[in-house]
Amino acid sequence: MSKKRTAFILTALLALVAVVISAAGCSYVVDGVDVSGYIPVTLTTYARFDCETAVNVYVADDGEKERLFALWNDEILPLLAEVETSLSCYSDPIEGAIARFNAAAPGERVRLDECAYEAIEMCLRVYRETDGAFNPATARSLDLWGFTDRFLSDGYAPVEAYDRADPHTQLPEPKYISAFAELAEKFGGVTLQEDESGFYAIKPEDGSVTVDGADYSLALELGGIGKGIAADEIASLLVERGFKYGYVSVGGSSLVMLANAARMTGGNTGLFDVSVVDPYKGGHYYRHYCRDIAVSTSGNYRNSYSIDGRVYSHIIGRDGVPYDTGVVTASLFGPSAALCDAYTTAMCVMGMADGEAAAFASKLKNYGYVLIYETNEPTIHTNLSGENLRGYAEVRG
Amino acid sequence: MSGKVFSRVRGGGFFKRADIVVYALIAVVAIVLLLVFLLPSDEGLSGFEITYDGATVLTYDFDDGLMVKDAFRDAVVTTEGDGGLYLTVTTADGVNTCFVDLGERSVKMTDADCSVSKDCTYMPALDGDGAIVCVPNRIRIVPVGGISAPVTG
Repeated sequence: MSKKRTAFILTALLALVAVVISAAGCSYVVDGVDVSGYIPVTLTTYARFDCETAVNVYVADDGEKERLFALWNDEILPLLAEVETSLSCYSDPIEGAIARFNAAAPGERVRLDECAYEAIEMCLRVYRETDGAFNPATARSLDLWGFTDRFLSDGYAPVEAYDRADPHTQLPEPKYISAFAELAEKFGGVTLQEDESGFYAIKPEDGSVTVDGADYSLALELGGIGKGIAADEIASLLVERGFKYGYVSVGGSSLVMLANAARMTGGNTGLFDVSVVDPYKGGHYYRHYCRDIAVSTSGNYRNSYSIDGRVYSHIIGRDGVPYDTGVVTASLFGPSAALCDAYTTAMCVMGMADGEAAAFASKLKNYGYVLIYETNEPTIHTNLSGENLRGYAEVRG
Repeated sequence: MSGKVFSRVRGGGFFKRADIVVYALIAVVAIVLLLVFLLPSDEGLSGFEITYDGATVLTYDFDDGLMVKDAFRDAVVTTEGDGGLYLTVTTADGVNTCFVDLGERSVKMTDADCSVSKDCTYMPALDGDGAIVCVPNRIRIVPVGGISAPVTG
């Protein structure tokens, strides 16, 4: 074959490939469905969990959009209300299952709803798996350190015996720190019962401590995993009703991704590019392409305060003190936002000094982690195939 | 006639300058098309939308400028300065101010009367991904077009 003919054929083939790809670019197919005409819809509410819940869905047409609106109003908003009420740690009057549990005396059998039952069941499992690094029985410690709702308003005034005039500049008394840490250790003694009449939890007989004559009973705080549970439930509902494209975010700390119907370049068909917030520089420090997966993030750069250069955050360590392990932020990608939230909380408490957090995350099957650990300078630790957006030193897990 | 043409072509050299130019042009066009459709693009923020409790207050397009919805005509105040534009949105829930950086093509919440901690003012500037959310005031800033890319943190 002459060189001229070879050149002609090669050029023609190249042009043909380009034309085919360009023509394909006019339509966009995900999982065998042409989604190029799909309409993006975002629905938000600020009424639950003191955060924004956003449902971002691509719908095929106006009829499907109407179905989504109906689902949002008739099922998703009531579902959010139900989960929040069930898992709220305190309420006046007492409405939810966890508030009932927290108000109960040691040894008391408390009636739960299914949501609270499954949440405590999951917490007990993760508590044991993480050797107590994840412990939801830190409600007393959170109040001691100034992280409950009553400290967030301008009208705070000391009420409890352990309160300080300004809890964000004055440290609590050590006797309360150790007593509440001891109290949290009783969580492993909670027992669950399920029968024809319903769901129950029994508070341990020794589930209280006494400080200066005042009794403090074991109390749970499930706010974090509550967001994860809500995200998981909403995503399941969307899939069940035929909405396959989009994602759910509850507070930004718990997300569940389905498939992406937006055109993506670089061969990332159907994938979302999930970014992780950079706690130091603003913007994002890591990007991971994924779909049909949940992600949760925990860290000490939000809902925290500093005293003498030491950061005190809303995640309580095994010793009853806000953790100080060097983990600034930890994100986990996996099958459940609620589980990911519990595990990332545990990873913050475990820390990276002896690699405990990364070693633990690596053992989790079908999970991917990315975290920033700071000693002298921030370091990214990850086992994900994502993009390091900020050029921090990286350690591959 | 056609026989003479063929014999002239066959009798010619491997490449004439015109052949090379045509092949090169086709190749360049083909490669450009391949790059456009196969490589990731990073165009930054083309515009953004501010919503209040789910309703659109305004949209800002970095090429076409600001468009305020009629229902919020009296709720939005714009001030030029610092190489950009300050947008102040006043609603029944409170006041939020954001800065539109025209050079960087980004937007950031700079002030709010929402809570003691003012979390929204610490959120990263929106320059392509994610959203800025002020929960107490129910204000949301998101990129225009499609749904905002997921951000966790």
